[in-house]
Amino acid sequence: MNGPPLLDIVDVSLSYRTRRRVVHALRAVNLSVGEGEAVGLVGESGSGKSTVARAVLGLTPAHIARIESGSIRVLGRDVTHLSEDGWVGVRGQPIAIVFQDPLSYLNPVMRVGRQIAESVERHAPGLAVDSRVRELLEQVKLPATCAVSYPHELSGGMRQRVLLAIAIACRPKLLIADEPTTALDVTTQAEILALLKELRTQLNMAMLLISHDLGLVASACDRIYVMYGGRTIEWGRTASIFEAPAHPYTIGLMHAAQADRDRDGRFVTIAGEPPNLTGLQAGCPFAARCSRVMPRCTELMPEPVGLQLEHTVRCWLYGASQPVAATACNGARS
Amino acid sequence: MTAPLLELKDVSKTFRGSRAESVVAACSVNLQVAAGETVALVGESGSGKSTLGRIALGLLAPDSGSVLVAGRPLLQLAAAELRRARAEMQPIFQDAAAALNPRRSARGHLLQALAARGAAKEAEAIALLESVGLRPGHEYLHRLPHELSGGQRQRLTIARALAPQPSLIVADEPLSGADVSIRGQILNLLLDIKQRRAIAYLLITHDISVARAFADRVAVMLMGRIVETGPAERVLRQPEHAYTRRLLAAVPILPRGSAATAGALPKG
Repeated sequence: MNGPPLLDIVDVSLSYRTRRRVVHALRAVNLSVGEGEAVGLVGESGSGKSTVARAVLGLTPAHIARIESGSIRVLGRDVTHLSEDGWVGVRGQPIAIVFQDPLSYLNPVMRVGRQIAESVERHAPGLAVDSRVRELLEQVKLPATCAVSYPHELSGGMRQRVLLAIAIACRPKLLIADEPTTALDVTTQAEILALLKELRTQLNMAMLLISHDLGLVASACDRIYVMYGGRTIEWGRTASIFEAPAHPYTIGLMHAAQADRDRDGRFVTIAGEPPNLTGLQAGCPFAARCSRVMPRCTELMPEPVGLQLEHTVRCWLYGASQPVAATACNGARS
Repeated sequence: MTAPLLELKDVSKTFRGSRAESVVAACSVNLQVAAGETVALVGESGSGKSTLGRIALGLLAPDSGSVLVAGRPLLQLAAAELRRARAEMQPIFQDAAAALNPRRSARGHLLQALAARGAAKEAEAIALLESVGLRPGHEYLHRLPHELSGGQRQRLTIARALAPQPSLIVADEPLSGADVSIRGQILNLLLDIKQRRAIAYLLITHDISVARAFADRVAVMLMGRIVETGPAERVLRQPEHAYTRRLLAAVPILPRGSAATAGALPKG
């Protein structure tokens, strides 16, 4: 790959501070997205995945959020501590975002054509606005007549298409899609996914797809990051992660996602509850629920260990000194 | 042959909007749930599955058709009998927080439900809490809904549903609010209840994997009609209706291999 990655998040820790408490939303998070790449970020609610999306665009609430350490780079440029004015050069172009709930991001009293036009005027001034709006509607496969509709007149899938049109009007190099299909039915979800794929090829656009749905991310992404309790705990090529998941949490999540059963016919679950991120806890955030927990797990978070090419895990089960053999899961180590 | 626990016969329901448009939420629907059986009602939002659940519970009257509970028409029962019939059928909803009174403790919720069978005793409430995995029960007794986690709240609504010792539970998307890692715990609890108490479920869900894992029979709903029904195994493996096929094809599946290898950890 030439040049710096599109997005490079290095060891970022971010906390939300209120008068009552401190929530450590991100801890030493690493994530990068190269040009044209589709990267998935998987985690459950509260794992910090949406905070990642927001931090990248400076959308975390400024009065309580603070990046404590690490850096966020966009095309090599450090954006970690940008001022509100500085973000203008990042938002929309080169990075645009679509959210889970399009209705709350669209203006309810403005026709959607006008809302798309605003994005065109802002990010591509000089273009013939009306024809560009028509072109964008066509690109997201909405009939041109939709331009005069209000958001409430459209279905959930159509609203998400409008949000996508607004996002690609900026011709972004990276599209962050934060749970873009969670509010939609599965058949609509499949349509939006197909559209995302098509737009990515057409516009040579990279994507960071954030979702709680392993299957969704697997079907759309080249690489995957798994988050738990504010940390990135495992990442690598999609095929590699699914063939040989290494972190006990990733393994548990896969069983749970498929509603797998054990020999007694019980559903395989992850015991316990998601962690409370208030206060700084030492060690691995998954330690309290992990069936393979060891004394040191609660003392220190292990450093990333390379299992094989482009597959990394942060877990004490995998020795730091020598990477586990290529058949990651079966390569027994003491 | 004894009458099925629940039988919907030719049930139709149309919602008339304030303007011209009206929505046909149920159109000549026939559905049966036998004692101890789990029937999954799958379909997308707006297909009418929640409406059907509410009709089954007697919370909503159909425009036409009949609802038979153990062979008796629910809508024609006298008040006292209706109350008894309703205790036989308990709901669990998706949003546990909304289904609980924010100012009432776990104890309050359970005693009220236990009163339906004249057993409003604290010991019973504790036993219920423990039966849904909230152990030790007395520690949860005085908690308010906001003092419970999402998974614990759903457990409390399940305990409340069990209080009148129903023979049928109508569970409307009971897992949608839960995270993937919590989902299995709730599924196991529902499975335990089914085995221990021989309870029948009408499980309303948009999640095919839940239907596949849990149901004996599946009914697929589309625009107010049941388009396909049959044994879960058959419907989900060899769907006959085009819509069922489309629905199944749209579900993202995990890549091959993940099932086989997940679980093998290096020996510590």
